Amino acid sequence: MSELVEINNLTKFYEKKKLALDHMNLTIPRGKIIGLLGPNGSGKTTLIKLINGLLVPTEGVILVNGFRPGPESKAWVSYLPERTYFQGSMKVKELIDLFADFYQDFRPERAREMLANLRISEEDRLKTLSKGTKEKVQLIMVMSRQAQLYILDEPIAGVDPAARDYILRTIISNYSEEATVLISTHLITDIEQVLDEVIFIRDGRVVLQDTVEHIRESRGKSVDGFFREVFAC
Amino acid sequence: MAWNLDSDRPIYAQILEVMQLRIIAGQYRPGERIPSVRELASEAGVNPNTMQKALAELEKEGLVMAQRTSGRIVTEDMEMIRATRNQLAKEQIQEFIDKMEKLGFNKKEIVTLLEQMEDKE
Amino acid sequence: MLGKLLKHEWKAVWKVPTLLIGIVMLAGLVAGLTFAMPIWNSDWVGLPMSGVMLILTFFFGLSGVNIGIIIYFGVRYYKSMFTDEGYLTHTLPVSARELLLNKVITMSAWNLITAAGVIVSLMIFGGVAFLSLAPLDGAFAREVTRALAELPELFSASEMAGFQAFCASLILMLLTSAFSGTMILIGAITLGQMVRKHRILGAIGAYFAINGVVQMVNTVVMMPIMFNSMNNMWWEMDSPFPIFTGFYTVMSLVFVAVSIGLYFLCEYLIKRQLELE
Repeated sequence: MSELVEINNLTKFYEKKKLALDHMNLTIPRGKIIGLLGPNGSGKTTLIKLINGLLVPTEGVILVNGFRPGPESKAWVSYLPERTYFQGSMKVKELIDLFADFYQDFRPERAREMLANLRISEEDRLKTLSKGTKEKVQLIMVMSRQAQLYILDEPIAGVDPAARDYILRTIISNYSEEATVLISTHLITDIEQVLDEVIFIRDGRVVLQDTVEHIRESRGKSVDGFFREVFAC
Repeated sequence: MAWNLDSDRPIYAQILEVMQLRIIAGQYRPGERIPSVRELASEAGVNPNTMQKALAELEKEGLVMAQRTSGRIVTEDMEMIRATRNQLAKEQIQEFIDKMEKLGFNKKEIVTLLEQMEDKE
Repeated sequence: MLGKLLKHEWKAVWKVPTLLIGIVMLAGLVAGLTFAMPIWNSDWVGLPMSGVMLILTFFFGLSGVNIGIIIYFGVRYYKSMFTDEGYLTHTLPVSARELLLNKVITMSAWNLITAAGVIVSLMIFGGVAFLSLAPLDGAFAREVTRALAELPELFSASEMAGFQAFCASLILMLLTSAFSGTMILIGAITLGQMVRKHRILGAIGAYFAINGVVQMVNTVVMMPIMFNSMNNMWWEMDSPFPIFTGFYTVMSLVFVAVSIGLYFLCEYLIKRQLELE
């Protein structure tokens, strides 16, 4: 079986001037929770958008299960963007219908259960929900899929500790066993203990890819401490 | 027993400690099924693979046993639980003694001090 | 998947245009009813004036609704494809072709429904006006009924030669313009995306540019027909219809060509040049 994600020589220029990804090579294995770590502007979101087909590479190739980003890969990838992206006039109920119609791996009962736990009514329109609740609805929708790859872009940026715990618990208890979860963040301490592996990127290149355990053993410090060292200004 | 995990020690070892304590303290009774890897990982907010490793170690120690169907149950061997309890107690006491010795107390003085404290209570 | 896209698109969009068309039909009814009111012979000029205003409002409303629906669908296309909502649109497991066809079909269908809505409101206005006036003025009603009765006779006159073909070409033109109108709107917004820093401005610019080009092409291809009819001394011909049939047929062909060209351009841009912010 091919690797879950293979990235070869991936380059992305914006507007012919700004280089966001610089001939990046990367392999993402199956069955791991992986942190995509790097300072702001290092290319995390660009990489994620390329994997999801929201951008087109300037050069290089991305393969998900052997397929370039397209209808096939989108059926396997469950993506949480770093913004609120559902149409505000929709009801929660309609959102569930939409996901159930398009994603064969979506489990509506699971989504309903999690929404009920948070006492979010399915009759509510998205625009009437608070920002935090909207983000939780998005997370619930994304994690209710039994995808092969979950890509979560900055899921815990700007949330309080209680919400952060909720988010991490939701991720852990819902991702399917064989799947990989790719979490991008610049807040490493908060999620370090959830990760199997980390990928450090800077200036559009992979600086390091290693297991959390190996970093702790070989460097004698937490990944957060090591990150600060690698990216010291 | 809550999961207060530090960032400076291996998570796997800390999970193991919490699980041992829960069994000794009877939070998980002998013969009782413990929660699944995923439930425990989610509760602790740790990677399921790490939790899996810690439970495997617990199994190796004999405190829990894998069941044919699925899941793990706490051992019904009370002797084993008592032995683990004693082992942990010894480790605590050793640690305590080490610290006291650094403060310049010898064993006799430590015992006297302990007795005095007991009297006051 | 296209079927599912169409279903969800339809559910999301039907309310606003239906409401607008409903309003304009109601306006046609009200404007028609003014003829039944005893306001026209009033001494105070304000009453007949307000009647006239009501009728004018209805006619402006007709084009207003048309423009309103075009803007509504333009904004919706832009938002669902190229803003935050695009993050969902473009991560559904569907192809660029299915996404685009979904929009083209839905928007063209609504163009046609809007056109039908406009015609129906005009009929409502005319019908109600006639029914309102008939009891007041028996002579008028007799006149209209007589004119209607003479219609078949009129059609058989030599001046009406080629009328059926003319009607067919008119309908063809309306149908193709519904598609080309949609494609010009979609094409303009999609092309506007290429101006990464000023996407909306780019779309508006592209809209006028494409429309300008289409009109130019239309004029150029009309030329031969014009000259041809000049040579044949059309004013000496009995019926004016064959010439218009020619015009409309050529326009339809231009619309079809423009629609197909823009469609493939858009599909290429969405597939190969997508860049969500």
